[in-house]
Amino acid sequence: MRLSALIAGVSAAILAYEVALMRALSVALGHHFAYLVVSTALLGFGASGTLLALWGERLRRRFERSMTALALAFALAIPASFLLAQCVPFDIFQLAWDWRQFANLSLYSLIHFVPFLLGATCIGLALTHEARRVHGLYFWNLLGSGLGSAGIVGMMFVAFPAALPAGAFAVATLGWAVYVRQWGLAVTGSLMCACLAVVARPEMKVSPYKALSSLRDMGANVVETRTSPLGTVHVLDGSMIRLVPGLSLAWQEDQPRQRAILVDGDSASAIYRLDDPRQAEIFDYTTSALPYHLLDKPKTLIIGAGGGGDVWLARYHGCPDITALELDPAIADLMTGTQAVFAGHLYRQPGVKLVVSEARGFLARTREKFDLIQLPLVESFGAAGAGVASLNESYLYTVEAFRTYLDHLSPNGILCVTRWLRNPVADCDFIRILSTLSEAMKLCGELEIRDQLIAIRGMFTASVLVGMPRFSRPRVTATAAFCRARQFDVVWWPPEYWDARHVELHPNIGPFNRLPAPYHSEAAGALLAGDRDGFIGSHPFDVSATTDDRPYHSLTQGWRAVRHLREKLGGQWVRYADWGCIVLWVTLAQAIALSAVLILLPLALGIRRQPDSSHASRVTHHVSLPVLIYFACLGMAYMFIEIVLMQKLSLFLASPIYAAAIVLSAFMVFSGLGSLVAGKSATGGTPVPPEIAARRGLVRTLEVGLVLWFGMDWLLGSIAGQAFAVRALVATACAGSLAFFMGMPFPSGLRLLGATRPALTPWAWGVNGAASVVGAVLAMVLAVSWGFRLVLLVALAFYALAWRVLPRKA
Amino acid sequence: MVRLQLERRDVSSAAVLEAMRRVPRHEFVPEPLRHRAYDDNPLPIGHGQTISQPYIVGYMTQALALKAGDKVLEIGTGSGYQAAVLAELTPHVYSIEIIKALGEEAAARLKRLGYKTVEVKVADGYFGWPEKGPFDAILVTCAAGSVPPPLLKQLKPGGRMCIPVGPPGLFQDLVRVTKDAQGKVRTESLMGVAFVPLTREVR
Repeated sequence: MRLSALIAGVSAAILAYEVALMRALSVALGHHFAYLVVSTALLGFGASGTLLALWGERLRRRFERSMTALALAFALAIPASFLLAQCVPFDIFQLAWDWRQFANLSLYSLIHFVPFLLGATCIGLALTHEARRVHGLYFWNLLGSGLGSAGIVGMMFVAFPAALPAGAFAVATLGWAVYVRQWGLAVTGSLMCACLAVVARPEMKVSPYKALSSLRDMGANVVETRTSPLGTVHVLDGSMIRLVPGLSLAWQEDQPRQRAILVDGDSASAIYRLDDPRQAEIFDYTTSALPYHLLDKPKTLIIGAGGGGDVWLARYHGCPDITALELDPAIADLMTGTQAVFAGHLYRQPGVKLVVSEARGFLARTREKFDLIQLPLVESFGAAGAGVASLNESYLYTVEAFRTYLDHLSPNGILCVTRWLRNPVADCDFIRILSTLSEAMKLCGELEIRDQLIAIRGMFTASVLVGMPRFSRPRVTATAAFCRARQFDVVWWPPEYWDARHVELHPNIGPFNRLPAPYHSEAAGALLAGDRDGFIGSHPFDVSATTDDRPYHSLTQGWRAVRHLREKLGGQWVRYADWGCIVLWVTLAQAIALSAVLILLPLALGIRRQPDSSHASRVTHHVSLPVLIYFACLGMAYMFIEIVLMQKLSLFLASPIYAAAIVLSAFMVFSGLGSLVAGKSATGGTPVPPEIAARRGLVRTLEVGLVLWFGMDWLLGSIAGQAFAVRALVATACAGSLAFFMGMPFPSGLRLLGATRPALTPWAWGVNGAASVVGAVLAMVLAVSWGFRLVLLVALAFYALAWRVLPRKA
Repeated sequence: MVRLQLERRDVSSAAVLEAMRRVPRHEFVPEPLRHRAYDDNPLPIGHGQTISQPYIVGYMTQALALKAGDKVLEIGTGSGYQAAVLAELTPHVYSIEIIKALGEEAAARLKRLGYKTVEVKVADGYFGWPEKGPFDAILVTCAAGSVPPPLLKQLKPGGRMCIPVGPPGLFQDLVRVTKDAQGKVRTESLMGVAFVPLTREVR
């Protein structure tokens, strides 16, 4: 029992620390580098197998003492590595030209690697030493992992990112103290750590290049901080804060007093010090103000209200019914609570309704129609709290999302989407919006794409409007007047309205904001009224329509884009490169290379030379291959499916955090139960032979997996409008039914190996660990390129391959 | 530096190249990084700020098309290097820095190196320097989401302004704003730049 408690404690602490580290590093370095560092650190699982394969015999001889030492070292390594890493002089900004920063980044990752190595070695040692109890121990391993991940997500509501590792430390200490029978120490130590984590508000060393550092340097004061799994929110006050995105050059007055809202130290938006809607004229000088000049006091839905700039704009135009959606409860709470006075009690003004909800979820549950749906500059959020699979997915800018918005427009309604513009050499964000929007309109059937779309741009932002029904001449004339007064340029409107009266606004004649070529207008022409497929196929960037299956609107650069940038810009291409994409590929390459080393090292150095006294079998590369394939397939497939479900359910549950918590918990708990069941016979007699238990688990996994592959989208879509409790139950059922069977093949495989070739069990543990890390990154690469349905299919293929290499008899 | 990093690219103005040759860049770089002062990249100068890549300094200076005697306003003094290059082209250089420590160090450094006509003040650059305006050219080295109206007002008819703009993130767009004789303003996208969010352009 003590061993089970230790395994559960260490497993819980590892998962908790992984998620905590991801959150903390997202604040300190930014999400992409956090992803790289944590992925590297997780290779500690692979390395633990190497370590056990080479020196496991010594550790097994003094099993109890080894477990005590490893568990204690693991617990102490959590705070030690976390604090030590902050002393590494790693400078992200110089990474592009200073090779020493790569050394610093490697050192940074290596320091974080140590606790994972120690924790995984502890678990691996127990699983390989107690081969006959492997099903039970694996159950505790998974149960602990599930509790650890759910617990740390809960802790994020009350503890700041830098304090989260203390929670992991507390759990690790608890596991160790129970194992060595230090009950008093166990309870008091872990309670003290947990309390300290919640009460103390330690600050991470935030990158000096983040807005939080910059604004502080300029003299801004932090007036308030909040934290939740969606991010840490800072509110800063200072006279230098001026954030009105896309403001026209024609605006000649000063800006209202503002406070900045920063999420994870960046992604700035502002709260505006206004008392009366008449003071909000400044917002009428942005591209997203155009629909208010084409509609009369529209009933408005604003997706992503943030600090309220777009709500003020709607109020300025006298809209009597405004629904403002905000995803982050912390920001909504700020705006209605402590910052309400500064914000002029915006959400108490007549006709304004604040709803805390994700947009797709809200629209799935309402039949309301709106005259105007505004999608302002909302940056995508990442499921950073999950620790995996959070590379800028966004379900706001997909074909399915746009169809949902169009379905909720009134007969004369307008959908308005606003995006930032980048330098023309690499600017394809807005073009991709046009591509996705036009695809959605095409699928809606009756819409006349070229006649129902108007797009305008300023120096910094562009807005595209889809009108119901087709845009009339008065609306086009109003657009022309709006653009002239604010020095915005027309990108597209129905072609028959180009006549002498508006000729100076034509993109080819005299734009206010000159580009080397009228890229946006040419793209709109091709996408709306030309050779759409040819244009998308020949574009150096990925401007194809984004779908729910591949919701990566911002990831537009593949190798072709990099080649294009290098051809055009030579050594300067790095300025335009998409770092998210680069980090993903670098992480994959690094994970594969390091995993290969970790997997091959024991073969090269140790295993082949070890005489296996108990079985007198000589292990060779040849006989190891099926073992390698089996455990690698299980590791990859498990992560693939976990990531696919996390993504699919984040839209279904309208929350990446609940999706991560439900999937992680359900996977661990149900897989653990699967492991327990697989090791027992139905009648309670002799345990099922491991090869049969593994085979059954694999076949059932394939069956349930195929059912989900064919039916999950239909199932989730048909009950998307139900209450959260119902959806949470369905999500748990989906994840749990598959996870239950996925929990069978791994412990059964280990038991089989323990009975036939025990020398290989630590190595198999390492192979599985390394493959899990590679699998997590590879799943993202495949999802970005081909979508989640393919990832699920590949995962099932891995399970089929594992079934194929499994021996029929032990 | 000038031959390899500027002439080989698209900085061709003889006056700008000569100005870049004259300014001792290593004097503007922190002591521990001086051996890298002439490298083809920006360098940190503290407070999360950087001294720009030489190529960007040359490119932005050239984009202003300065004439001898022009009055120039720089927003974001930083180390003072850009102000020194401008001072090689015209004696009327005014520079504003929001971070007090940087502004004071830069003012002292410029004086020590003989750039006595450069005036530096510590203030919020958003408001420009109306007492010294209007200006023939304005160079903004802090990225923003919009062009500050006070700066536009302080730009003379026929004046040019260079400013990095765009969404939050490391990579931005360098834009030239021109005001014609009638006061009509137009913008022109020049190139991508990498900058320190909300404060300073660096590459």
